[in-house]
Amino acid sequence: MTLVLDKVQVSIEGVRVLRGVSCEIVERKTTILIGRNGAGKTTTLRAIMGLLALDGGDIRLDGDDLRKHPAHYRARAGIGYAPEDRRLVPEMTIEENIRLPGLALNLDKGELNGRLEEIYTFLPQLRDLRKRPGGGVSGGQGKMVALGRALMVARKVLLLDEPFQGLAPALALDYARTLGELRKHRPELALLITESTPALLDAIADRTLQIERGEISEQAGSPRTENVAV
Amino acid sequence: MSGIDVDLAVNGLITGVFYALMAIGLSLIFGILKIVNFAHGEFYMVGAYAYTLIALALGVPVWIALPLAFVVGALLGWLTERTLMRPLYAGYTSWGLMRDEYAVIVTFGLSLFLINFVDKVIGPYAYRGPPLVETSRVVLGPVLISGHRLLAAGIAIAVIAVTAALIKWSFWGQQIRAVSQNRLGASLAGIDTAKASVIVFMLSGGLAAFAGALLSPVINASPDVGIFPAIKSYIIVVLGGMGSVPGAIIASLFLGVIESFGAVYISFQYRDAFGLILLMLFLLFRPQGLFGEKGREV
Repeated sequence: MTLVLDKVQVSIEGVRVLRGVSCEIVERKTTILIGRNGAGKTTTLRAIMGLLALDGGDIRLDGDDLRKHPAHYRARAGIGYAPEDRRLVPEMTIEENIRLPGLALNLDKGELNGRLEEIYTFLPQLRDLRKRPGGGVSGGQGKMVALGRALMVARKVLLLDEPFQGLAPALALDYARTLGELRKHRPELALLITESTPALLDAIADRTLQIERGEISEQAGSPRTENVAV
Repeated sequence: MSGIDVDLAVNGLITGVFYALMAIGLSLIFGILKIVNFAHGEFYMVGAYAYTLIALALGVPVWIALPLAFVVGALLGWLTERTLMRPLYAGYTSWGLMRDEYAVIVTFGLSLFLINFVDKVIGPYAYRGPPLVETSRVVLGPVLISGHRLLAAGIAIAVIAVTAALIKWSFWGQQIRAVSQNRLGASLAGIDTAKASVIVFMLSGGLAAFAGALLSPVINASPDVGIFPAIKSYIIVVLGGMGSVPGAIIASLFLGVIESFGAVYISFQYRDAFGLILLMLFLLFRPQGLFGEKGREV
């Protein structure tokens, strides 16, 4: 499984934000995309998710040209995305939020409940929150819910946008530990995590890419590349 | 409560039920695309004509003409969404570039077009729709009501109940609610937001046309017949909270009762002004409406 970005160019409101981003996100690897605010991290993820039109370049998942498909196809193709700003449905409960992608994909009941149980095993705190409305959890809790929702569909690729942004230190450690667990339980997943302060991710990163002014430069000095893969 | 008050309350609630048929669709469209459909009244008008002409000109029984009016409204809703609303979220991919002024101009243009089109093709004359039953007066205790109005209200309540249940529990209902509360979140979850908006336009158009059909024996079909019901719907959607379906239903009943009592106890001439006064009071003191929230996106 490989997700390929090939010279991806994206403009927002007429301003070129990505100027030819190329990289490969491969299975069994955790790739960290670091860069300052405004460098284009979120835009890269949104382009993968089909939320922004490309000016040029290609995005392919195992040779399947994602440009041809509407945004919601990504979930069907096995790409889960937990956005930095969470994007929960406020009047649905936490559990309904997590189940929502399963519903949209028309998963059969057994499969859906199985995935839900698996998510609750990784993220036991979600089980305690499950009856709360999506609009009634804190920002940090909301990040966990967004991760849970992304895991419902992430059969191949999981994209996490600044998972530690705005988390209390204890919660951030918790989240980092969860990501470590996830690596063990779901070794096949390709993980792409963006971060502006990558300290917490050092332990789980297989590769580090740096994005600067809309261009990705190859591995910004990450000595432990490749061999940490589980 | 004297007999006349009971009569006013019941008749006000019945008026409210018809308002609700209109307002639910308007609220759903606002919820899912965050636009106000200024052509909403013309779906009502088209439904009134569809029912009347199918029944009178083609001689089709009223019980078949009534659901056909819903179908005509739904088809017009589908056509509107596919041709005029698509540019709002151009070609799926450029999510988020909503152009509000586009929606105002295009729906207003559609409204003018439909009014003038019907005026030229069918003519400016009013057509009275055939009543569902001929019974002119039904007396229920202190309540006096025409047979058609009573029957039409019963059907409207059933249709509203089915609609509310579908939105709450059905496969697409749940997805539509998700899209209207957080469009991007819904898209990430794999929901086809374009399809959700097609379904909403069809449902909204069908319901408004159905209201027009049900009321055509009372308020004759004419090219501009949709203007007043549309204005009432805009008021109701603000009172109930933009995008809230339960809010729209409750605000509809509320407005129906207020108008019913106001017409007798305050002034019949100012009957249509009460809603506007309520609208101003709500905008001043509770702009989020009865059930709306100031910020629905999380």
